[in-house]
Amino acid sequence: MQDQDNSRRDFIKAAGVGGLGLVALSSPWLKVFGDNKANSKAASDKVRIGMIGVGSRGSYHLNYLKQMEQTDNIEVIGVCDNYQPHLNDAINITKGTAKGYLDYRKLLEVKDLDGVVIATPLHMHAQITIDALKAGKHVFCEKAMAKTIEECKLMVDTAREKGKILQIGHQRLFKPTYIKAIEYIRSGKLGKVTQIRAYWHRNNDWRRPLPSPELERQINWRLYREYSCGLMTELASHHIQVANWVLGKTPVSVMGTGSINYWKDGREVEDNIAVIYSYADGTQFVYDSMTSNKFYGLEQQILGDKGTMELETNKMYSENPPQPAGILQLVNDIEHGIFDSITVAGASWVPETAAKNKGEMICLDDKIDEGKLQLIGLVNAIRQNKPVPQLMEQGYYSGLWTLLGQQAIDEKRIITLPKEYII
Amino acid sequence: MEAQSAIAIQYFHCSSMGTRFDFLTYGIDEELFNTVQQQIKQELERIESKFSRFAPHSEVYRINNLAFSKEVITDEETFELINLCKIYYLKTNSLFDITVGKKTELPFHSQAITIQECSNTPSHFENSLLGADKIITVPSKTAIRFANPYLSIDLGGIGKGYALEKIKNICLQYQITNAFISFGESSITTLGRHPHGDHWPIGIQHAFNPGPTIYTCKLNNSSISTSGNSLNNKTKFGDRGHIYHPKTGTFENTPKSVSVVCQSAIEAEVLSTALFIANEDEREKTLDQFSVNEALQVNYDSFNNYTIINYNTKVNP
Ligand SMILES: NC(=O)c1ccc[n+]([C@@H]2O[C@H](COP(=O)([O-])OP(=O)(O)OC[C@H]3O[C@@H](n4cnc5c(N)ncnc54)[C@H](O)[C@@H]3O)[C@@H](O)[C@H]2O)c1
Repeated sequence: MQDQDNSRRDFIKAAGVGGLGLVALSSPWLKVFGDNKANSKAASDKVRIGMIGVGSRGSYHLNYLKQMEQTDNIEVIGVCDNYQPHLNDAINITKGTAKGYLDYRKLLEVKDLDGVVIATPLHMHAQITIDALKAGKHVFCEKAMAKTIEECKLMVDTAREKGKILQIGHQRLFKPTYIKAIEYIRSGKLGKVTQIRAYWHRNNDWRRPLPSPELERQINWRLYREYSCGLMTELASHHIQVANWVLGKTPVSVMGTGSINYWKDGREVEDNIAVIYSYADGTQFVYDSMTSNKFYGLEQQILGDKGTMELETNKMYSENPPQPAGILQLVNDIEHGIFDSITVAGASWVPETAAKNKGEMICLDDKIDEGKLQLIGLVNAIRQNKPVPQLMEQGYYSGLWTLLGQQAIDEKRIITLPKEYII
Repeated sequence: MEAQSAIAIQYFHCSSMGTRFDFLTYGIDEELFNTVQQQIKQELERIESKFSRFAPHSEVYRINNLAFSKEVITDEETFELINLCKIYYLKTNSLFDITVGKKTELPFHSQAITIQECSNTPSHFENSLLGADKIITVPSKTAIRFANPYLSIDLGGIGKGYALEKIKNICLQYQITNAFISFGESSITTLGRHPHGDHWPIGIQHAFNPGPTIYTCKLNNSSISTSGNSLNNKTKFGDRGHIYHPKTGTFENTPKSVSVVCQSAIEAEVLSTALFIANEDEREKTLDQFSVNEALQVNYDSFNNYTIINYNTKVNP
């Protein structure tokens, strides 16, 4: 915990003084940590936050926000959930300091509320976001952005029209390993990246326990198309966001397939899917997800002609360990008919060490909790009262392409992006 | 423009045993080369996973964990290799010792002992506990036992040589008679000759001022191994040397290197380690026990100056 706090402070400080170098280009949203006002303790600079949807993810955010009341001059003034037990739990987390609301619209009426953090099921993201923006509040909304591409576009348009911040909860955007990885990739460490692969495999039914049967659709909303697109929106959206970030562009088309081949329990969303995204230069992003085998777990692999990265596990492998000069010269000599001595480095036996050829770490200090860092970013942005460079765009395009991937699965055809959705 | 020779080089490399493995041959059928390449890679993986003391499924790991509490029955290959190490322990006047491995680990490595432990000169008591002679072998059962709980086996000082010998055999089996095979350039074995000469000329570089070759060894069906405190090792190992002296309990850190050329890749490796820490008497006694083509010591007294001593006592008897 102490460690994490220190790391976070160092990270923010480095970002603030522009110590991030190339990162300023590849992860421009980190500039949000660069303004002195960010840590202002002035009463007038207090940021007042409301939390909407305090289920599993929402309580996690709420806990962070409560911690930040001590360190970041904020106050959680209201919590909202339309399910009473969750609302009660949330009020308890705040030790009763925040007011409870069953209807988010009532919360939005609170005058000095600066922004809201939304962690409701997917189908409510757009409506609540747009209402909040129209009420003049800044918005942090969990991924995936929304349930349809029309909604995604409307969210962006409204945020721009109202001049408010709209940040989508893709926490990897703030994770040191990823930030470092992208910096390395941009500097050519992996050579030309020609394929990205990612998978998310689980072996469970993805259900939550039900207090009573009639709550099935409300609690297990992920399994029903009315509320969610299942594996694509709930899981794949993360890796789609990272793929776009790595390549510094968005796809041109997507194809995909999926089915329910194991959990035939009345769910409406696929229990396994596979999609391929193509980028303009021919690079492919190959993704699959399943729920009946967990052996391979979760990973995102960046494949370049000089090396490989495994981002989820913070690993990097070189395709060609540097070739010793002596051997290079030997090959060259033979090819040119030369007989000359093969110069060797003349090192010696190095005692056997474990896992030497098992790759190296991308980032040595990854203790920071990116989940909290993105909220600190949000609060800073609110205090600076200007949009964070590129952050909304990251959330928008990943949301969009997540949904187009789902469309490819549904319609069994290759999908491209309609022009009017380019922002 | 230079004339291109018509010789087809077949070459591959991979990571193995914590370093880079290079294999070069020439003038053989491409398909045969592919087969040999596969075989070699498999053999490297097999050896590494069997003899690495860090791999939890390795035979050495199992022995290290159990051999004090009970007799561990092992397979013939492992038994023979450990036995061989015991023989080398005797033949090198206890200088080559597979039981001191733990001492040589990098202090910052997760499995390493602490820096303090490293820099402490071990007591006589501790020294009297280590030594390959305290590994008890029971040939009738191919069984291994440790005489005390402080013992553990590290084949890092012989593993590359052992692998090179195995690979040499694979080559011979496929009638490959010319090859240059290298582990991190510090353990090299050769078959036959360079395509444009009658041997493989191996040039030793100045360790602290890499540049031109300061000495050239001729290899023909022979092997070379080098131990040294080079710049590389200095930066890696801090200011202490990395070869532990089993008798004095210290790390050798004079700026020097020792290269040994002999037929067997295993013996070249064993000898370069042993001679690196040997005093004059020990060196003579040790060299008496082996057939070496060349045993060179390069002493460095500055970034430019060096002296080469050739203990070429016996030439291919
Ligand atoms: N970024 C991540 O790693 C991550 C992880 C988990 C979940 N999430 C996202 O968080 C969101 C919520 O997921 P969860 O697992 O917390 O779900 P959940 O079901 O545990 O929580 C959702 C909460 O929203 C409440 N809710 C529903 N409709 C509401 C409304 N109209 N007004 C107010 N509250 C309402 C529900 O009662 C529930 O308490 C989803 O968008 C999900 O994708 C993100």
